[in-house]
Formats: sequence, C-alpha cells, structure tokens
Amino acid sequence: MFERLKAMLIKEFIQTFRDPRMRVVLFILPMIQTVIFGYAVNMDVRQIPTAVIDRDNSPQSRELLTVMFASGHFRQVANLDDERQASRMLDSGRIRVAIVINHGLAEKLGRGQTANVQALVDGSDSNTAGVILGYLSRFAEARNIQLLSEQASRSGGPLLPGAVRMESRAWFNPDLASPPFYVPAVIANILYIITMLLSAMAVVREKEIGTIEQVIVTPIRKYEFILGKTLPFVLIGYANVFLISLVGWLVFRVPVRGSLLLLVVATGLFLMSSLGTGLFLSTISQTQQQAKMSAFFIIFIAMLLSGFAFPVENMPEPVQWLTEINPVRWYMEIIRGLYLKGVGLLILWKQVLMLFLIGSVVLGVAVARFRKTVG
Amino acid sequence: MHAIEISNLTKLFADLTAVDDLNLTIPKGELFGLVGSDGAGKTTTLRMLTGVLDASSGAATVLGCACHDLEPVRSHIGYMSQRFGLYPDLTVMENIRFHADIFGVPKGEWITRAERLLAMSGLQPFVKRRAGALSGGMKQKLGLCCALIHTPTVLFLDEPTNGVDPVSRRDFWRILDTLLAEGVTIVVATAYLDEAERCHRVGLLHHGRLLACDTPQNLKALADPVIAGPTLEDVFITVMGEGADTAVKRRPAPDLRSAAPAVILEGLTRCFGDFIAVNKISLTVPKGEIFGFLGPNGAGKSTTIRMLCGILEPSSGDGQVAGYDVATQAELIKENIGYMSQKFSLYEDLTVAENIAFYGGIYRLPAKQLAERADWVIEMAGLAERRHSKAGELSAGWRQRLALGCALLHKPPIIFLDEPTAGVDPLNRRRFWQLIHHLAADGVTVFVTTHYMDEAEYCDRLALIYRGELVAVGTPFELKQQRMVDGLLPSLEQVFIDLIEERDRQEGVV
Repeated sequence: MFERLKAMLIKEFIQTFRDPRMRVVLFILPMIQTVIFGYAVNMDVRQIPTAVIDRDNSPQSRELLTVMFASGHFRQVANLDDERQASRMLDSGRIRVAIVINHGLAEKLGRGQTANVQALVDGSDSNTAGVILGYLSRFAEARNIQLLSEQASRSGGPLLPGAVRMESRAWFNPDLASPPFYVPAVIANILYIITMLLSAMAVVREKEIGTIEQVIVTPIRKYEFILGKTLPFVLIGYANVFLISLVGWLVFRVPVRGSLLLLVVATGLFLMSSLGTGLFLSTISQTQQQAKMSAFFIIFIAMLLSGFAFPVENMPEPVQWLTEINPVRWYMEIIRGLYLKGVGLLILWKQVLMLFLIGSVVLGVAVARFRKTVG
Repeated sequence: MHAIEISNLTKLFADLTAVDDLNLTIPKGELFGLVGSDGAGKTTTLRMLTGVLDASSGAATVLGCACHDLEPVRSHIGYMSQRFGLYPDLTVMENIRFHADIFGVPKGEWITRAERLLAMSGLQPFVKRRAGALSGGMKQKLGLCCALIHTPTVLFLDEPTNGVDPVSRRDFWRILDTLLAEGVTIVVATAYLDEAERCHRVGLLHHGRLLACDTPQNLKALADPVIAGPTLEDVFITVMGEGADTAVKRRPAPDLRSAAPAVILEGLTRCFGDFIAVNKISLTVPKGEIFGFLGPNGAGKSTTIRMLCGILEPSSGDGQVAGYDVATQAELIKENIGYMSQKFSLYEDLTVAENIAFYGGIYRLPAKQLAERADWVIEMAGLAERRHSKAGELSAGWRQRLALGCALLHKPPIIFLDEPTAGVDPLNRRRFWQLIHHLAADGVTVFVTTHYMDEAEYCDRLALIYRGELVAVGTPFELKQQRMVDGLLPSLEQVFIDLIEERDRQEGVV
C-alpha cells in the first residue's frame, strides 16, 4: 500500500541528510538566526548620542541635564557652543539629538515663568525619532512635576493641586523588550523560507539533473511523489519550530504560554501554504536558479506584509487587504498570540481559518498543476 | 622542440593512482589518439597537460612551457573538456562570441572564422538557438567551434564525439582534418576505436599506465591471433587481457513473424510550437525483438521514446505499448516497461544498494523478491564490491549497467534504452550487449537507440529517422543490401550517411 511512498521518503531523507552542509543549513543556521535576530532586531532605544548647548550654564540648567542623562536613554557625546556645530554633527550622524538651553533658564524658573528648552532631533529614522520625542516629553513632564512640588514644599503651601497621572502597564511583555516579540516572528519567517525554498529545489533539482525522468516512467502515483517530496520538509519544519522555541526559551527566556496543540495544528496549516507554494514554483521553474529567484520574490513580499517589523494596522488600506492572503501574517499573529498572550482558539479562530483556506487553495493549485510528464 | 613532452608524469588521488609514470613525446602536427577503458586516466592526463590539474610527480611541457604554468602559451592551447563550458542561456553565436572575446580575437577575424566553423559543423541554421536547446551532438559541435575560435597551435579534445551521430562525427573529423593541414597538433581522447584508427599514433591507457603506443597499423599486430582482420577494438580487448571470447554471443535469430506486437506506432506526431519533432511515424515492433532506433542528433529519437513511455503526450497519432494506449493509459504502460534515459538518471548521492532499494520500493517489489533482484543486478553489473559506493563515484560502464539493472528490477516485458552506451568503453559495451541478447532470449522486447554502428549490427531490425520522419526500416542486412554497389555490401555507417545525405538532397538542403 505505502511501499512507494516509503521508498520516496527514505530516498529523500538520505539525500537531505547525507550532505553535512545541508544538516547545518537546516538545523544550526535557524538557531543562530534566532539569536542574531533576538539581539539585533531591537527596537528599544537606549544610549542615544546627544550633544548639549548650554548657554545658561546655571545650577538649574546643569541639574536639568544631569537628571536627563541619569535616565540612561541619552548619552552626552559633545558639549557645543552653537547650532551650526550641532547641525554638522546631526548631518554626519554622530548625534541623534541636540539639546539647546538658552540664556535665562534659571532666571525664568526663579520668577515662576515657563522656560523653553529646544531639542533638535534627527528625524530621518522616523521610528527612532518618535521614540526619542516620547522620552523627551515624558522627561519634561516629570521635570515639571518635580519643580512644582519643590516649589510647593519651599513655599509651605499645599503640595500640589489635584492632578491626573497616567499609570500604564504593558501587558504580555511588561518590559516592552524586543526578544519576546521577535522570537516567534523568527519561527514564522524561517519556517516559510526553509520549507518553501527546499521543497521547490528538491523537485527542480531532479529536473535539472534528469533523475525525475527515470522516476516518472515508473508507476509511482502523482500523490506519492508529491507526498514523498513534501513530508520530509513537514518534519524538518516541526523540528525547526521546536529548536527555535528552545533557543528562545534558553537564551531570551521567551516561553510558550499558549496551547502546544494549537501551535502544532497552526504550524501544520501554515506548512500547507509554504510547501504548496514551493511545489507550485517547481511546476513553473526549469532550473534551481529560477526557482530560487521566484521564491525570494514571494518571501520578501510575504515577510514585509506580515507585520514582522511594521504593524499591519499602519499599512495603507489596499495593502492591508493584500495581507489578508498572506499566510505569514496569520501564522505570525497566531504564534505571537501563543507566545506572548497565551490565548487560544477562541480568539485565534479567524487566523486559523484563514491559514486553512489559503493553504488549501495554494496546495490545491500546485497539486493540480503538477504533471507526471516532461513536456 | 616537440609539441608535448611528458616524462614520468604521475597523479595520485588519495589511494588511487590515476596516472602512473607516463612517458610520451608528441611531435608538432601529429594527431594523437588516447584510448582506454573508463577510469583509465585519459581525462586526468589531458587535465594535467592543459594545466587544469597539477601533477603529483614527474613533468610535462606543452610548446616548451611547463604544464604547471602555461600562462605564456595559454593563447596557443585549445581544450575541449567532456563537460565543455557552454552557456545554456546564450545562443550558439553568443557562445562563440564569448569565447572569441575571452581569447581577445579581433572582431573581423572571429566573424570570418566563426562562419567557416559553423558551415563545417552544419550549425549555420541554428546560430540563434539557445545552446541549452541543442541536441547532444550539436552541443559537442558547438563546443568544438568555441575551442577553435582562437586558432590554437595545440588542441586537446576529451571524448569530443560522445553521443554524436555518424554524420556529425564525420563532419567533426573533417574539421580536424583541415586543422591538421594547418599544422595544428591534436590530442584526442576517445571511446570510439574507429576514430582512433584515423590517428597518426594511438596510446592505449589502462589503470593509468601506457600499455601500448604506436601507429594503428602496428598496434593491430598485438591483437589475439585467433581474430582475422582485427580492428583496434580487438587490440584493445586483447591488450587489456581479455580474449576473443568477449565477442557478443548473439541469441539464435528468432522467428518473430507470428509474434504479437509489443509496440505499435501509427502516425505518431509531436510538435513543440512550430517545430515538428516527430512527424507521423508508423512502426510495429513484435514481442521479443531487439529493435534499433537510429538517427542523427535531434532527429526525434528521444522524443519518440518519451511518448512511448507515457511521459510526453503525443500531439496526434496513436501509439500502443504492451497493448495500452500511450495517450490515455500512460500509467498502465509504466507498469510494464523499463526505461533508461540518455542522461545517467540514478541518484548520484545514493549508494548502489540505496538506488536499487529505491526503485524496488517504487515498483512495489516484496522484500524477498527485491533481495533476489538486487543480488541479480549487483551480479549482472559486477558491482559486488561497490554495493555501498555512491553511484556518482562509479565509472561510466558500471553506471550504465546499474541504471539498466534498476530499470529491469520489476522484470518488465518491454524495455526502452535511450543511448545506453554513450561514453562507455568497448569492453563494457560488449558486456552490455551480451546482456541485451540474454534478455531478448528470455522474450523481452528491447527498443534501443545508439550512435555506435557496431551496436546497430547487434539489433534484429533497425529504423532510421531523420528530422522527425522515418527514412528506412529493415534488418541490418536488408539495409545494406539496398545500398549494395557492385556486389559489395557497404558498412552500416555508410548506409546511414548515404540515406541522410540523400534525404538532404531531396529536400534541397545543402
């Protein structure tokens, strides 16, 4: 019954694992990538290089700066005399922010007036600039409260008039650290790349060498050939999910909070899409080079539109529609939900359903296109 | 100064001595043939002489320049390796131009030269075709054109006519003749011993050692005295220590007039776009026959076989194999045939045993039967000690027999062999054909293509196709008889060339 499938699987496994380089590519590189991504794709902004122009040079201005640098967000790299120097340093990228304090800060504060402090921010990287502006305004607010309370205590009056204070708590990722957010994303990306690319190459390589001709003149059934070509990558895919999760947990302390069963099911549905796409590419490519180039084209778009680095909600509406047919987006949402929030099928049912639909269509088209002929 | 001087040249690969203490001098203007079995060291020798590979010990010079640093004479050396570096995505002309450019041939000069080479090789009509879309023989000819575009003084050719049909081989040798007239020194490694007969001197290489080196005429004295009128092939086999008993023992000529048909073609046609690859071919092959399918490169032989095997759909016409229709019952056909394609199509990264196990599984052989058949294949192919070697490490003769074995695992009643012996040495080819006769004696129908006319003689009946059309059908004797001149039977090769040229004249193609 399954002799032919068994023969295919044995052959594929021998071929995949005989080459030591392949073993490294399949299992070691994904783990290394996880570590690199975990450390490198870090959206936390710290130690921002900052220049200071302190024209007031009063105890008050110096205190203001000391408190600012004490937070650890900013790092003073230069003490300048005028804005032109600051402008040059911003141009060359040696600083991201310049803080300008003009004459009369101490005097104005002493008179109970509002004193202006100027911040020149490098806005070329809008993300970082936004974060810097956030830090600065939070800092200014805190400084104001501090000044008011000091003044109140000096004058012996009521400490402070009633005020609203925002107490925010970041759920799921209390420190707003990057690794918990990116480790699951790495799983989605690596799984997509490895399984799609390898399944496409596995078929096209046989076309290129000519071995496929010998196989298709045998009575092997189409589905046996296809399963033989894809099942090994399903197993390799699962092994990668396990290995990357292990690295995430050991190195970055990122645990899986949600249901493991759901993780297994969702991964299976996701693999339908990636392997289906790989198989589809193998039906339209004659050489491994063609297969690779087409695969990278798809992978690039799928990753960009997955919410991996840029939230889907921030994309223009037509692009958001496009993400609806992107399996990586749905898998990313499921896997982030499972890792960070520990939510279950009750909440993730739509993502799971979408994965199933996309996977069925892609795999269906690929299988329908696959022919046991050479012409 | 001689063109090539070799003294004590040796090359070791790990524990294998590929070339063993070779001494040889080749004067300028000589055509030197290097023959030997697969793995004898022909390619290794050529690669050392062209500076591609460094010798382990000993020395060699080409045009007075040491082979480990040929830069000063590089522009005088032409080398056509077995896997000549043609770019499949470039057209014929673009490939030639690329080679002219890297050798810095001035434009006016290479264009004139290219025209001459293209005319001689018959590639003129195909200048705009991509190299990847050429047939095997045309690729070889293009490779030669590229190697000759810069007027070399010494030319090295490594099995340049592998898989090339007789007409193209003749064109090929005509090109070499004009080069010789220009004083070019040529060293050619070949598996065709009739080609070696054309050389001034022939060196016989075996296990890296030069067993004999002389003119073809003098070499023939070395053949087993039992053989009357020996050919170089007989010399080859005698010198290698095998006697006259290696001659293929034919099975008794079968009477197949009443046999049921195994393969029927009725107006079978296949087009690729505007190009008609196979044009209304009708044939019947009875059960148990060895049927030879001949034709120049690109004539449509492989296309026909692929249609009969059910892996290429016919554009029109009918074909039946083992009683099943090729268009509608392809999967049933596949249960009943064995197929060996032109390229070596076993998995090179799998061992001999793993390849056999794979095909055994695909053909659903029960474990016990598979073990029996595996032993039979190993025994038949002489691979007992190589069971666990990777298929990619085997020499050509072994590979071909292993591929044949895998195609025969399920004991198919009909087998299709597409150039099964291309590049295989004479001794191994004889062994291969001995096997074919054994199979046919057991009632297996064999449908085989070949470019070796000595092999065509082993077939019961032959068909010659050209440009997709059937030109002639008959037994080897009948074909020769039709072309008899003054009561003398021509060789099959002559018949082949005559029929093709006649067709060309009829169609007004020069």
